[in-house]
Amino acid sequence: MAAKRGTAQYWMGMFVQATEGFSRDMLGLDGCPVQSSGSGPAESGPGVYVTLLGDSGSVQLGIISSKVGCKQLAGMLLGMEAEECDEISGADMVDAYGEIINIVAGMVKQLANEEDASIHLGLPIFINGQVCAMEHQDSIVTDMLMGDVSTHLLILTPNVGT
Amino acid sequence: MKFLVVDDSKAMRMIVKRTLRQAGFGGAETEEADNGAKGLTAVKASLPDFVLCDWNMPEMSGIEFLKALRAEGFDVKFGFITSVATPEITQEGMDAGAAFVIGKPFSADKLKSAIEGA
Repeated sequence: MAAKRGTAQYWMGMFVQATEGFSRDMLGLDGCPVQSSGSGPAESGPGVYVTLLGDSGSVQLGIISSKVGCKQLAGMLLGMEAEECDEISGADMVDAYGEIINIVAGMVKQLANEEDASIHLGLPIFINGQVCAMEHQDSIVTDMLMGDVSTHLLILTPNVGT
Repeated sequence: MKFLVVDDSKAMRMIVKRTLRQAGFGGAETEEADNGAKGLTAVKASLPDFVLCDWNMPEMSGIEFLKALRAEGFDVKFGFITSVATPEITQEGMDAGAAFVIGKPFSADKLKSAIEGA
C-alpha cells in the first residue's frame, strides 16, 4: 500500500529511491541493500542534513555515517581510491558529503514535483552528533549499505498521521 | 576551448571537470569560480567559450549570474548543472538565455550531448 502523502514513510520511499539512483549514477555502485527500517532517532555520528520546504509542508532529510564512512563516501564521489580517502581534509569531506545530500534531495524534489511543484531545496548542513525528533515530529530511519559504507537515512516530518 | 565552471562546492567543480575530460574535452582549458559574482568577474577577465554553472549558490545565484551576463552584453554560451532541474527551473533558465539545464546526477554522454548541441 502506498504511504500517505506527507508522512515520513512517503518521504522515505522517495529518499531510498533517490539514494539508490545517486549511488548507481554517481558512485558506480550496483545496488544499495536496505538493512533495516523503523521509527526512532538515527545513531549518533557525523551526518549531513537538508530541508525541503513547499506549500504542502516540510521535511528534513539526513544521511548519517561514521567519520570513516563519511570520508569513504566523499572519496567515492571524488573518484578517489579507498586508501586515499584518509587524506581528505575535514573541509573537503564536509563539502563533498554536503554535495551528496544536495544531489539526493534534488532527486527527491523531482520525484515529489508532480504533487507539489512549490518545493524548495535548502542548503546542506553538517552536524556531528545525534538529531532527534521533537514532540510534534515523526522520524523514520532506514539503514542502508552504500558500497562497504553503513549509512542511516533519516526523515523528520511534522506529525500528519499515517 | 575554454570552460568556466561555477559551483560553490569544490567537490562538484572537481566532478564537472572530471566529467568534461570523460566527455572528450580533456584538452580544454578550465577555470573555476565558487559563486556567480566571482563568475561574472572571471567572464570579464578571461572571456571563456562556455560557462557551466550551478543554480543555488551564495552571494549570487546561477540565474542572477546569467541575467547579469546578458544585461552586460556577454553572449557566452551558458549551461546549468543543478540538483533542482525541474520543468519550472528549466524553463526559467532557458528563458534567461541558457543553452541547457541538466540535472545532477549527470553522465559524460549527457554533458557532451548538451555542450555539442548548444
